[in-house]
Amino acid sequence: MNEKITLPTLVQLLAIASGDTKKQSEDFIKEFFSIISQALSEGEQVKIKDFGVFKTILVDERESVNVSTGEHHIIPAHRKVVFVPAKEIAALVNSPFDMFEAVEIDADITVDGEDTGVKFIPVYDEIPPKNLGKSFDSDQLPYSAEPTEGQTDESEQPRTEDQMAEFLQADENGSADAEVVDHAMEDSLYQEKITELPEDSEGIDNNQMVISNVDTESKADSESKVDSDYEPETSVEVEESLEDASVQDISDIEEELPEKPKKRFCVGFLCGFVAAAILCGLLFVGVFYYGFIHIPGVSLLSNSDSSSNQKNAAQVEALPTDSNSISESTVIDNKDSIPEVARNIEQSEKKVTEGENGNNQIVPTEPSDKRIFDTISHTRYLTTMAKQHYGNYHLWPYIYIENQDFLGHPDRIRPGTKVVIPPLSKYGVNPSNPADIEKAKKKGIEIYSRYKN
Amino acid sequence: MDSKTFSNMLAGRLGRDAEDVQVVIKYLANVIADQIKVGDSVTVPGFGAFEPKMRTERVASNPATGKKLLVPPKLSVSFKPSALLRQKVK
Repeated sequence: MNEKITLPTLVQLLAIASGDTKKQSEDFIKEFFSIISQALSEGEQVKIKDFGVFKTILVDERESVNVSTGEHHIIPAHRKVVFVPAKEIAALVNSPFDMFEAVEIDADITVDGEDTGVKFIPVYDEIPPKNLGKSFDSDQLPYSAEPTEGQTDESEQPRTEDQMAEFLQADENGSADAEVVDHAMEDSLYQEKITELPEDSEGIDNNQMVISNVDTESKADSESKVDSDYEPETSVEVEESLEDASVQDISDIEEELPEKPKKRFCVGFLCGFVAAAILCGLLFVGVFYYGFIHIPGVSLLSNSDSSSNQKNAAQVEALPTDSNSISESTVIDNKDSIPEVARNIEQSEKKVTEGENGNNQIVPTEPSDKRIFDTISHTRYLTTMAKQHYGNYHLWPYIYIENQDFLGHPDRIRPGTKVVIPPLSKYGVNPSNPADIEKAKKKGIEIYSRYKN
Repeated sequence: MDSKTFSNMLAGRLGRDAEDVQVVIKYLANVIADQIKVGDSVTVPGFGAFEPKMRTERVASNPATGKKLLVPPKLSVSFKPSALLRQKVK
């Protein structure tokens, strides 16, 4: 380590490696490097196979400072020798580090001393919104009657404009939130909420429009008015007059307004809307469970108490699901979801499949034929299903073909995927016929070959 | 000067076969690389020194995808021309 290998050692090593005498090796090395240095001094580049490339590159003149004396002096332009090792040599030298590979890392990891610039990017990201706001204001101006007045205003009071915008935004956010919360409190029925919420969002949008509308109008009126317009009091007035504003005006302004400034407001409303949506979802779930577990569930329990033949009844109920309404199928679901009802495992399994039948029949695309469904799991593949339903696992391609619209690679089907088990007669296959088994095997190979790429 | 003219010239000066010379060149390269690999530097008087250069791991970003990559450390060859060669080339 860290030793300097001199010419004699190199000669010795080369002699051992090549099997030549030391004299031959020494001559070789001397001639080798003398030819290179000669060619380099003539300005030529020397390419040597299995060794590398020696070349000269031009270095421009530059100013340098003598560290000890502090004198400035110019290093004249000159040529510099560069060696680029051949690929094999570079690989051989790097062999101790061969096992390392470039690893992708998460973008949010910052390494000390590196990428310090990246940390500041979020700061830059925060700045643009203010600029956006300014551009929003200046974009608005052309729509007013006297743009020059507005511009002077802007130059006079850029600060108040920003503050105003911020105030309005905050106010809007607050009112929007309050509205949402009110609705959440008031509306116990989720259906009403669902119908009302969209209206709210529209109303919020309209509020935006009207505010900007009033702003532009007041700007057009006079300078003094514009100044007074930026006071909080008037903003309240604006809000009060929101409802009086005609829809016609709103739609006009909506067309005129540029897209950008909307974003500022939209962020706030989006948050409110998302919160409302979550509340709504929770309410929906609550109502769903309350409505269906308690009311029909109780009746079911009473049924099971009263009649010992309830299981049979349930089966009878489930069998003619072709013509069953949605409510009936959901009732079946609920039976499955109530563990308190004592049943043996066999029957519950049957119920599960029946419940699935009912679920699938709700989907209008499913024909009302009697169909067998099965669910892929970690221990249940197409082959196990084929083995169970057809008696031969080689027949799995028919299950695949039946469901190929939504199946990908046959080995990468997600657990939980429901598949239709087609009757073998549909494909004219006889499981006891060896020729058909061969056909199925070929089909399997064909399916795999689709994903060979 | 390409590889063929170089090996021909070298073969002419040494009075050996060009193919033979090419084989020895490979041996020479391997000998030097082996020394650099273990951390030694190979000095040829009047020409220069081949030295190991450790390049530390660094974080780079893929310009195509913008994803960050941790590039592993790397050992490479650096050539430092001797004063004589530098003088000649200047």
